[in-house]
Amino acid sequence: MRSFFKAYKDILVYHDYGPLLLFWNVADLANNRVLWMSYGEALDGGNEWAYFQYCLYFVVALGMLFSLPNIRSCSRFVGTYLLLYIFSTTRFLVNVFSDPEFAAGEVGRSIVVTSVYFTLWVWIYVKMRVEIMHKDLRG
Amino acid sequence: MDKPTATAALVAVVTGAVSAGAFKFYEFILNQKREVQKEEKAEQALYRDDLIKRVEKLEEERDEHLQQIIDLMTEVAGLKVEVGYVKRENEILKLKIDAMR
Repeated sequence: MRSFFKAYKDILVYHDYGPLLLFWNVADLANNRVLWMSYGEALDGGNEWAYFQYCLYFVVALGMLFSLPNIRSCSRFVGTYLLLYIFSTTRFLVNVFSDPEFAAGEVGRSIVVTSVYFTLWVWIYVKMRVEIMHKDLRG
Repeated sequence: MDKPTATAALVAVVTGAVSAGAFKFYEFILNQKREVQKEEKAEQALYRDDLIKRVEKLEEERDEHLQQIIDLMTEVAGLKVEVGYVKRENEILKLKIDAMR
């Protein structure tokens, strides 16, 4: 049982993030609402703020995709993406806890999914930064 | 800017600043570890260089001593031959003295 969990720990510590980031990035771009919704539609629904947010996500995700071979630049985009993620998640949580109507939906599911995604991005970012540090130290 | 947006922006900025600081600190720790490793390696290299010098010196001395032994053995061999001749001459002289008596 112990070796079973150790195998998972080893996957997290030693396995590379590159392919995961590539596929996740492509999926994220394809899933972005900017591609499937016009600004007019967002304006009609009163979601123009969310539309801008998705635009930002889209730009950062594109930057991530094109800078994937250069770890230093890519880590900056991942960091920005993470900050955007923190921003939107905090905004969502503040809305959940301050607005009872907002909290009526599938909040629990959203929080769980967001937590997992957040852990994923933190893991990728930490791995990248640690790799950059070791590269710098080796010269 | 509404309250949730302001809060979210503040949290994002603070998180960014804290994580940047944490990474700087981790970098500092790694640097320190690296410096200690470098010092240890330098000490080991110093000890190794000293050992190499000592081995070289001992090998030179061994070669010199081997040459001295070879010279001495040659000399001893020459002396053995000489002693053999002297012994034989001595025997001849003894026989000559006996014959004269």
